[in-house]
Formats: sequence, C-alpha cells, structure tokens
Amino acid sequence: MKKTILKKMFCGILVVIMGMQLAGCGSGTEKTSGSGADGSKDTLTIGELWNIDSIDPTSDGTLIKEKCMVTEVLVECDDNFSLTPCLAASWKNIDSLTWEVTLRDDVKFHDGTDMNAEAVKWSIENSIAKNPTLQDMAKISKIEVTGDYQLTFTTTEPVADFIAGLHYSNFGIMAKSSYDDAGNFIKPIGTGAYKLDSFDVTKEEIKLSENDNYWGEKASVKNIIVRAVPDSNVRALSIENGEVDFTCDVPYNEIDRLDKLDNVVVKTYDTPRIYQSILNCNTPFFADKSVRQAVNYAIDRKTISQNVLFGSGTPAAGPYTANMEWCNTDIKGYDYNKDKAVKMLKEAGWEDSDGDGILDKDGQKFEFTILTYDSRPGLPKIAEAIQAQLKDIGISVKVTTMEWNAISEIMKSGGDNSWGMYLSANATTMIPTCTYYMKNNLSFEGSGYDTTELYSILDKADQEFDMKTRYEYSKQAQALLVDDSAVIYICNYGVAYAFSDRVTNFKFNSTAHDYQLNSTIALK
Amino acid sequence: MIKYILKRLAASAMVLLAVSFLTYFVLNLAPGDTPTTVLTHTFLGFDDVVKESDVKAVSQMHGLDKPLIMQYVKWLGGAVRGNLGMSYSYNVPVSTMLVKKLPYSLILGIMSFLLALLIAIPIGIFTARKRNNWIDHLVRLLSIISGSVPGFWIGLMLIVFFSVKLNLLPVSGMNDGIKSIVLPCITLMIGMIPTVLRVMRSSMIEVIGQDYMILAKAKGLEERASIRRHGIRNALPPVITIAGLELGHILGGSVVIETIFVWPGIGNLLKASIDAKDIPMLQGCVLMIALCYIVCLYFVDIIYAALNPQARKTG
Repeated sequence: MKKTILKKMFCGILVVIMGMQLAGCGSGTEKTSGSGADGSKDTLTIGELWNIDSIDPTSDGTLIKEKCMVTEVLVECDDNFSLTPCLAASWKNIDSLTWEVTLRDDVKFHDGTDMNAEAVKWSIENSIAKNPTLQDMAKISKIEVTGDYQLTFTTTEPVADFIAGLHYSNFGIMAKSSYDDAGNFIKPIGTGAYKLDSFDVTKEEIKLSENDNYWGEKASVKNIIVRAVPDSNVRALSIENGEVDFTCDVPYNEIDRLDKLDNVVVKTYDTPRIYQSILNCNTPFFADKSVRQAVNYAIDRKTISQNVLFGSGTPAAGPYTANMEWCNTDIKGYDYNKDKAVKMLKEAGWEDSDGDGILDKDGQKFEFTILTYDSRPGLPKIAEAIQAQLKDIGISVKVTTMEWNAISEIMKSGGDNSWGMYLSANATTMIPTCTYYMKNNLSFEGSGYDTTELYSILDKADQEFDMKTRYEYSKQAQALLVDDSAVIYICNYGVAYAFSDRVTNFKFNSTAHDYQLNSTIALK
Repeated sequence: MIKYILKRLAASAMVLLAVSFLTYFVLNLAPGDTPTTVLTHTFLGFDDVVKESDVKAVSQMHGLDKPLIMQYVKWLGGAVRGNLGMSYSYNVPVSTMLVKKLPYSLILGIMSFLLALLIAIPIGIFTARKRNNWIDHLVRLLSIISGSVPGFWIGLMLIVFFSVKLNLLPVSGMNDGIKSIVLPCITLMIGMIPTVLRVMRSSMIEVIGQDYMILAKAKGLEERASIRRHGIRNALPPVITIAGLELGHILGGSVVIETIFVWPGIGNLLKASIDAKDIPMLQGCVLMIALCYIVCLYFVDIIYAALNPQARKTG
C-alpha cells in the first residue's frame, strides 16, 4: 500500500510553498529605502494618492512637474496667482496675436544640453501633438525662434491669457532626448531640481535623485521615492507607521487622530477647487431666482466645513479664494439664515398648505434629487448635510450617488426635471486666469440657466488685454453668479497633508492641485 | 485522449470568445461614454468639464468613433494574432502590462491557496471526526465569521495590528521582499478557508457513515487508519471541485485586497483600468482571469480522473 495521499499532498504543498517563498524573495530583492522606516536621511518617500500609470509630461504634467519636480514650465505663479518668471525670464505682448518670450540663458536639461529657444519650441510643439486638449487651451498657430533664447508665439485668435496657459503643467519643458530615435517616449528629461532615475510601472513607483546642476535653489534631500498608495485609509496607516514621509488626502475623520500622534503632523489647506452645486432651473421651484437665493441662505456652510469636512475646506462666498488677485472680495455670500430662507420661500408662494411637512405651491411639492459622485469623498457627505438642512425648512431631498460621467450624461440630455441639484468639486484655476473656470470648467449645460449675460461679460473680458480691466469684468461675472444663485458655492476644497516629523521646510503652494513640492523640502 | 483535449481546447476558445464579446459590449453599455472618460482620466482632471472638440479628438485617437461592432471586430482581429492592443492610460501594449503583473498575482494567489488548503483540510477532517464537540463548534463559528467579514476590513485590521501597532510588517507595497507578501497572503487565505473547510467536513462526515467505513471498523481497523486509507480518497472529490473553483478565482477575486495592499497584480491593474475605462487593458485583464478559470477547471478534471478510476473511463 502506498503512503497516504494526505501525507504526500502535504509534502507537495509544503515544497511548493517554500519554492514560492524563494520566488517571492527573488522578485522582491530590490530592497530599497522605500520604507522610510529605515530612517535614511537622504531619502524622502511620498505616498501618491492616484495610480501612477504613466510618466509622460504631456498628459501627467501634475505628477511630473508638481509632485516629482522633474520638469518646469515657462512661467510660475506666486501665492496670489500672479505670473512670475521661471524658465522664461520675461515676456511681452507684441500685438493681440503675437507674444515674445525671452528665456533664461543659464538652464541646462538633465542630459546636459542647453535649454534654449529651439528646445522649447520642440517641447511645446510635441506637447500639443501628443495631448489633444492643449491646443484648445493655448491656441498656438506658430512658434518662431527669434534668437538663441527668444521665441515668438502667434495665436489663432486673440488670447489675453496666453502666457498663463503656458503655466499649465502639461506644458512642462522637456528635452528631445526624452524620446528615442524612433520617437518612442522613454522618460522625461526636464530642467527641474530632480532627475527621474527610474519608473517601475508594476510597483507604480518613481525614483528621483537631485539634479546637481539645477539653476535654482538646489535640492536639500538627495533622493525622493514617489509611490502610489491609492487607498486613503492605507495612506493614513502608511504615514502612521512611517513607511511614507509625506502624503496627501488622508480620510477627513482621521485628521485629528493622526495629528495627535508624536510622529505625524497634519496640516489642512484650501486648494483652488470648489464644492459647488448647480441648480436645475428647469424645475418649477428653481426657475424662480428668489427661491434659489432662499435655498442658498438655508445652507449652513460653517457646519458643513466643521462637521462634515472636519475643517478641511473653509466656507465659500464665491468661486474664488481671497488670495486670488481677481477675487471679488466685496461678495459677502449667503450667511446661514433659516428665517430669511423661510420668509423668502413664503413670499415666492411656497408654503406647507397640506401639513405634510413639505412645502408646496399649486399642488406641486418642493422635492428634488441631488446628484453627486463619490470619487471625491466629501461630496456624498455634503449632499447629506444639505439634505438635512433643507428638510429643516420643508424641502424634501433625495441624494443619488453615481459615476461622474453618468451624471454628465444626464445633464447633457438636458430639459430633464429628474434632478434638482448637481453637487461637484471643480478646479477654479486649471489655468491661473480670472475667467478660465467660469468659461470652461463651470457648465450650466442642461440646467436651463440663461447664461447670455454671464457670457457677454466673460467675452468682453477675454477681448481685453489690460489686466486691471479684465479683473473688473471677472469681478462683475462673479457677482452675477453669486447673485443669480444658479450655482451655489458651498466650501473651498481643502486638502489634508500628513507629514512625518522628520520633514521640514515644506512650503505650501496655493496653486497646486493636490500638492506641489519644491526643492527646499528637507529631512531632519 | 487527443480528441478529448482538442474538444476541451475548442470549448475553451469559445468561452474566451464569449467572455471577450460580453465584456466589450457590457463595458460600453455602462453609463458614461468611453472617450469622455479616457479624456478626463488621461488628459484632464476626472471631474473637469469637457469640450466636445477634445472628446472628438480622443475618439479618433483610439478609433472610438467607429461603430461598436467594428471596434470589436478590429480588436478581435488583433487578439487572435496575439495583439491585445495598446492600453489607453499606460500607453504600452496590453500584453506587456499583463506579463509584468501576472507573476505577482500568481505568487500571491497560489501561496494563499496552498496555505488555505494546508489549514482547511486537516481541520475539516478533524472536525468531521469529532463533530459536535466544542472544537467543532468553535471552528464552525470562526469559519462563519471569517467567511462573512469582508476581505478589505480584515486587511485593514491586519495592517493596524501588525504594521502600525507592532511595526513588524510593511503597510503596503512590495519593497520588503518576503515580508511584503505576508499580510495580503493571510487576508486572501482567510477568505478561502471557510469554503474548503466546510466542504471537507461535510464530505468527510458523509464518508464516515458509508458501509465500507463501517466494514473497515468491523474488520478491526483503527479509525485514524481507516480514514487515512479509505476516507480521504473518497471524501476529496467535492473538496477538489470547490478548491479548483477557489483557485480559478485567485486572479479575479483579489481585486480589493491587491488595491489595499498596493500589490502589483492583475487585480490592481483591473481596478485601475475600470477607473480609467481603459477598455483594451480591461479586456486583457478579464481574458486573463477567464483563462485562469478555464485552466484550473481543466486541472480539476484531471485530478478527478486520477483519484477516481470511474471518471477516467466515462470522462
């Protein structure tokens, strides 16, 4: 009789497991200082919040420029969102279609070649060819090299914000050697404070090392590792355990707990993104401006900011934050005032006539659906808060969470009364200009809101090349938006950064979308 | 035998064809059109307002402006020649990504599967022999708990305990060699044990009650010996079926766990591709998962035949 099957099976399984463990060791041999836990002084590990699927600066500019510091753009922004020189030393508007840009003459790419007019021309043309959205932004018809370090850009139509468009991170300047001879992308060769050493697409990990020939302030940390940690709970645990030194967007309800730990510091900032709600003016209630304003008064932003967002995101009066040069600071917004809301609704004819707790008018009940998506975790919670606050004044609200693009399809179909509010979080300065958001990233499509007046102001602004006058138009448009209340501004989009206690010298950049590092960041 | 294998292969090809067809069309039925998602995911922020002109440009870029059936035929034409297309978001051939990620999924999946067997089978046999004593009740209770608690929660709890409190193991990623695999492996294993264990136990209980087992006892064979000689061989087939299904499940079943532990496998890739609506990549992942299933079921049949001479004759 043979030995028992069981024994043989177990032996087999054990052998296989041991083999696999060896294989496991083999595949994981590259033991790096990736775990910041080793306390290495030279390596900073960053827990990135999105999947890292590509390192192409023409489409992943935010990652390569803002988070990796590998590429740089021609112009930077200061904290007030006004343009400052970077790779471009100066620029001049020749006529409504022509711009002259003078480059710095002391900048070298990571491969040692000169960053000059030819290189910049190639880089920008390459970006436009690779990324279909860029041409729409910059509207470039021609780039001419007029000197070793001088270029002339011609646009297809007058674009007052042309230079600001070049600040967009997907316009990061890279050397031709980023591609091989056949034109295949290898890796970004930029001018930034860090060189990209390697990208492991399997582990979703980027390794960076300092650029010794950097033209600006030299990096203080020798190496940086950027690792994808897409789950927010895991990001929180990783910073707690010391596996990463810096991460962004930890769950709101973890902020307090993490901040109390000895080895972690959490800071929250407002970013140029806003929680907003588009109202459906096709509905019998929101067609009336005073009803929209009443609802605006009924939303308690302070409570939402403190209790829903845990302080990550301050109450908003208008679309822009006060530090933006073009922000209309005269807008006072809608301070929470329940009595005023009830009064205004009553004046508009909305009362609870049948005693069921829900307002009605001409047999029509005041009830609607809020559409929102959950890929930004604050949104569904804000929707629930609004639901509760409106219930307080007799408005019945249902919250529906679905995929972002499913909502966008519902909106596109237009003329539909199945929704009342669309709650989203939109970037207000994809390009740092006073009109871009209102014109391009705020869509009233399908909401039935008459945008004629708004767009006539914005068009006037866009034909104007004098910044002061442009800002005035922008302020007018902001005031109109807030007064009309077809969009309700709720809170600024806050972001929570978590640092290990060994990180010093981090300087917050208010123009960043998730986070922007700079070469001064250091380790204790 | 050759005829049998050919038949099997043809059937497998049909299954893959059906899977690819279904995936392609169901994906495109999902709300939100593909070019818009690709545009916002690859070139803009995911909730930025899009321009029609940009959507059009992306459609043309990836040939999404053609009718769906034409897109599928074109994809299929490439696929039968081994070209699964280019990934939209990774911008590399789909097959390259699959080859890079598959070994990680296999290592994780097979290791946790084997560990699960190693634990579940002996415990299953033991509790069948000692059924209804306190150990049996305890094991059943634990297996209900571990089978019903979601994997991601177990994963997070393990991280909290072993990585944060004890600081023994890394939270995520795979930079620490063998240490990196421990937590994801245990998490997956915990999900597999209850099924195998319960089937093993009930199958063994049934076998113990059979006439030949009573005969073995009557002829004076010790219980342990009779189970070893006659019991296990007869109780194993249902366990093998269920284990084969579990094994077939290792690629598709670890999506959440791979995401939590940032384990660079197929599951992680699948999740990222769904977010990006990266249809060629998704197709590749789904086909890989289906293929894994087919191969596992095939091996189940072979093992079946080896264990049970009757199946060999009729199979």
